[in-house]
Amino acid sequence: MIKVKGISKKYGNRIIFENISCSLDNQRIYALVGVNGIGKSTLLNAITQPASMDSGNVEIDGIDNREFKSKFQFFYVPDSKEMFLNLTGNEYLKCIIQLYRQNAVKAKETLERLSAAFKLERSLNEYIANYSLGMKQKVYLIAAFLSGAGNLILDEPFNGLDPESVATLKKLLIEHRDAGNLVLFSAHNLDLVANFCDDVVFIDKQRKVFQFENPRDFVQLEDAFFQTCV
Amino acid sequence: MKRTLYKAILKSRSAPIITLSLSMIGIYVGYLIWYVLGHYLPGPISVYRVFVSILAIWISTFIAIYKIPDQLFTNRRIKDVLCFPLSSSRLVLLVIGRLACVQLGVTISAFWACFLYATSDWLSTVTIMLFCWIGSCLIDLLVLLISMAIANLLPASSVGYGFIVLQYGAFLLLALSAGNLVSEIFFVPDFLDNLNEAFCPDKWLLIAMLVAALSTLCAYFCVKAGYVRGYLNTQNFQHQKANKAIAPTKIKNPYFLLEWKRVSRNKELIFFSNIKNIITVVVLCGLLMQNFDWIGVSERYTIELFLLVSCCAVNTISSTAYSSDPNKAYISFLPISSHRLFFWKTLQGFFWGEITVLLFWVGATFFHGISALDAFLLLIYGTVMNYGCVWLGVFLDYKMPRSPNSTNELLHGNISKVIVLFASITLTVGEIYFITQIIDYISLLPFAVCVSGCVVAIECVYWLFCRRSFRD
Repeated sequence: MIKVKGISKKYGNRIIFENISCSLDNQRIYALVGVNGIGKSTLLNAITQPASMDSGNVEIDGIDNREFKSKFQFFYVPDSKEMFLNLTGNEYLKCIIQLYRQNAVKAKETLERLSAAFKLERSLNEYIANYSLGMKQKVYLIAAFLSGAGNLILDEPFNGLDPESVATLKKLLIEHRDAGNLVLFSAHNLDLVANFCDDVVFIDKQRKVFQFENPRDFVQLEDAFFQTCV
Repeated sequence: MKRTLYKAILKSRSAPIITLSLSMIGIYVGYLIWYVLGHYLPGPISVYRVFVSILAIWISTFIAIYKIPDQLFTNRRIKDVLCFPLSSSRLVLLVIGRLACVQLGVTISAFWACFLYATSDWLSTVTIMLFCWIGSCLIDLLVLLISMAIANLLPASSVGYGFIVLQYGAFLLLALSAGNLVSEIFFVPDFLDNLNEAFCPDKWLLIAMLVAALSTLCAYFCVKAGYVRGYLNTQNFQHQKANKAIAPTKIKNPYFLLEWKRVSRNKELIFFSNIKNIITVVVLCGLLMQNFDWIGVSERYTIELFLLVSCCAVNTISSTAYSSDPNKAYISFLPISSHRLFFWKTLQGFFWGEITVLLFWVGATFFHGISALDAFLLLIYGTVMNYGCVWLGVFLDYKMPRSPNSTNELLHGNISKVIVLFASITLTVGEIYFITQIIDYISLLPFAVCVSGCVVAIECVYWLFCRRSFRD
């Protein structure tokens, strides 16, 4: 569960957000949608990195995100795919297991299952620097599931993935939700949003955030998007 | 178009205020040089023009050595414009042209104040200025040709090291030659007069112009023939793929793993840190051995302490612990404690720094014939000071986060390094002063060990109890 209360963010004189609030519940998959440069990544950064916001507060599973222990409650996959390039896939994933204090035996089993699902078993002993964009995306997503964090915050997680991996990711995200957890991801593909998520979070042209239940209808969702966000 | 291209390939955002400030500093330094020469040194001021021109060429050469390989060969942004219909000679001309403008600024800054003091012989001064500037451009072309040779002749696996040897070797050579020149001008009688006699401005200017014309022609054809190939070869050094199988790591601690991989996967950093430290210590050794009598300190082990402290202070791994960490932006949203990370960064820097300390200690112990007890104390001193300097270097880099503008690791963390060097040398000078002037019944070495131990204890206490300084 994530509660955002009155957060504001400015870059110099440019206001990105002013007094934004929203509440995201467990057992839901939220899609964050907005036009380019409206502040989707800034909002995700504000949730995951308290130092990046100017005012307001964020609670993750009831813990203020300024507290160190809140970091165990979420896993964030940013849009940058340049993370930990100096580690091999295996090293990175084992590092995540230890940082998030997961049971080694159970995590090993999960790792084997996930690497097989994403067809990455053979590449895990190579340096992430040598991976393609899709492979990097897969390894960071595997890390998200391995962390055991209840709240997954994913910035454009479907980018670079092949259709088979998109289907695998959708299945895993649904499993994660059904286990009582929360998924928040940003996306541009309204078709995918309409067919997959439970709720939609729009950032409109006034940079205000509002959320509503997914109508599960592409045309209706597209109309709503063009009326409010463009 | 030129300006946009320059911005695109060099990410240069030269604000007018910075250009103006640099110009003001240049003008002030130029005036200061001629003021000192005119008021405090013997002889007519015109005899110092050759000396100033050598200094100006020295500064221009220093800029060229750092800028040319950095902007034309190791610069990753050039790759983005190579797909445009843009000739390689135009790219090179853009960089060299801008460099020549900077060097013209250096020459003007160095000489403008000369006209205030020597008003009669201005034509000769202008000729020397022109020679100075054309000489600087000639050096640019020479550096370009050497860089082209390195980029084309060395294999991709070692071309990066070739550039480091060129940059750092040339820097040391320049520093040594400038040091020797200044000392000879001030301490060797008639040296300046002989230099002035040998230098005939008109003739030398003509020679410089002819050589510059020939070099330009040569550089043009070389650039046409091999610049792009050399550039791509250099880029391959930075993006080499490891073909051999990677052994799975046995490191269990995630902090240690992150830090170990940060350093061990960055072979440039290891190369710079250790090779540079060793070269610096060898050069410092030479300079101190030659000139230590002049300082007039007779206390035993003074040179050894100075050298050990210098060894410890110039640790690139510690002074770039945060600024050169490619993962630092991603650490903030992972459950990684900054307090613990600081400790592991310190430990990593300490480990690599200890290699240089041990090398120096082995050399000093076996070639200087030090007694067993003193050798032991020297090792303790080196190890403790190593930790102390590393701690300070990491702390400074943590408190002053800088994103390096240059991909050249040689330039990273230099400010932290200078501060650490200054602090540690000051401490050593204080220890020597205390022993020689205040309590002369204690030996220097045990006293220095105790003081450095206290410094490290203070650092450890600060790390343990001032957790808020390393906020999570």
